[in-house]
Amino acid sequence: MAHRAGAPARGQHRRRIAVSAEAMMTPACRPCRRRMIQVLATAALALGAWGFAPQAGASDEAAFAAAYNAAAEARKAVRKAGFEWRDLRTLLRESKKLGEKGEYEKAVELANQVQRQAELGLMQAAEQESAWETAVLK
Amino acid sequence: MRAALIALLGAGLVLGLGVARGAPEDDRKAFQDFYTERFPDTPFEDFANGLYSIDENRREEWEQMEEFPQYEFDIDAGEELFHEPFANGKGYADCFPDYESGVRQNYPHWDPGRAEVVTMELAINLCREQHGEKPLKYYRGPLAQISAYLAYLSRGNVIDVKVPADDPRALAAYEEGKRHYYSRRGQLNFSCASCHVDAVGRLLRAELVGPALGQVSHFPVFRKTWREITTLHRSYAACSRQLRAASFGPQSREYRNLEFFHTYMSNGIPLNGPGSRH
Repeated sequence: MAHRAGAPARGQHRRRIAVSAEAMMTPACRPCRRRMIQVLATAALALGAWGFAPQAGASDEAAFAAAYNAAAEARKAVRKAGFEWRDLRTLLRESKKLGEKGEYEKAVELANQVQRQAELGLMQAAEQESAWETAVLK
Repeated sequence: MRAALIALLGAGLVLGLGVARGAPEDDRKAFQDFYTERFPDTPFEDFANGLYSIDENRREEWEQMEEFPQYEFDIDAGEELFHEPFANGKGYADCFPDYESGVRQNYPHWDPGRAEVVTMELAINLCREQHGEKPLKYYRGPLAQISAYLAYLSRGNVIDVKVPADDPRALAAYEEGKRHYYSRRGQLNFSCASCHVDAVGRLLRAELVGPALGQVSHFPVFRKTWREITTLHRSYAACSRQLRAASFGPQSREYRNLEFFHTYMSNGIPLNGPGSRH
């Protein structure tokens, strides 16, 4: 293929991009312009994707705080009843750590797990209020 | 009219005390009858050996362990610690004047002054505090060793725990312990009784479950799994965690009351602590 006059030799345009932005704007540097458009389009797409992606915002943080506080309260209640399950403390601590790191989704999941287990413990306490007597050796 | 009211009140009081006095004894009788009927070949006193009273193969293995028991070092260390005087010149012997003939058979007991159950381990720490010393940690170490020494001196004495009939607070503590024993807890929804009553003598995975009768007689124990001498409340905590329930603290009111009930159920069993266990 014949080389057009004034056009950069094969491979030369890459160096030009690195060397001078002004050079890219010259009509003589069409491949460079194409490259420039590609780069800008990619950047625009990336920015768009970033914009639409779910971002950890104030609402997530508030949702985590609500879930965490509810879980902590539920744990306190089941502990007071004397029927706390084994892993609540560890799960709650883990939830707090994740929340501090901004990993709200996982943190909320753990907090909800704590709340559910605490509720089940309270149900167990209510049930055992009288059920224990049926087990007594007579 | 007034005399009739007083008589009625008096009768009610006597009846009430009678019921209260009868309850723990009725419980003990039913508890002990269950095990003696479930294991008719085991002599009553032999329940002091726990699991090894009901399984021949495991008993042989345990007898081998008892030939060179690892708790001997702890008894020696406990003896040394027991006789080490406090900074004020007093010692444990001032708190436990009858220690040589054995004191453990009377623990835990109801202390009306403190209005709570006092266990052997708590009594050791109360003695220290009374003489200006810092309390020791409850699960292991020096306190378990002193307790092991006192258990050793009490060997052969028969467990004789009393629930004073004239103090309703003592009966309430006993009832709380009993309730704890039979209440299902944790993610597995198990109670102490689920294993040691309902599943006694059966396999839970690879574990053969031992009887609750006589279970307290050999504490503190040298547990091979933990490679050290440990107190009863550490075993309670380990059991709780196995049920996926949160454990209570060592010497917490819950565990002391549980020990009160648990030990009362073994009244009449001779002490043989410290013991060796897996």
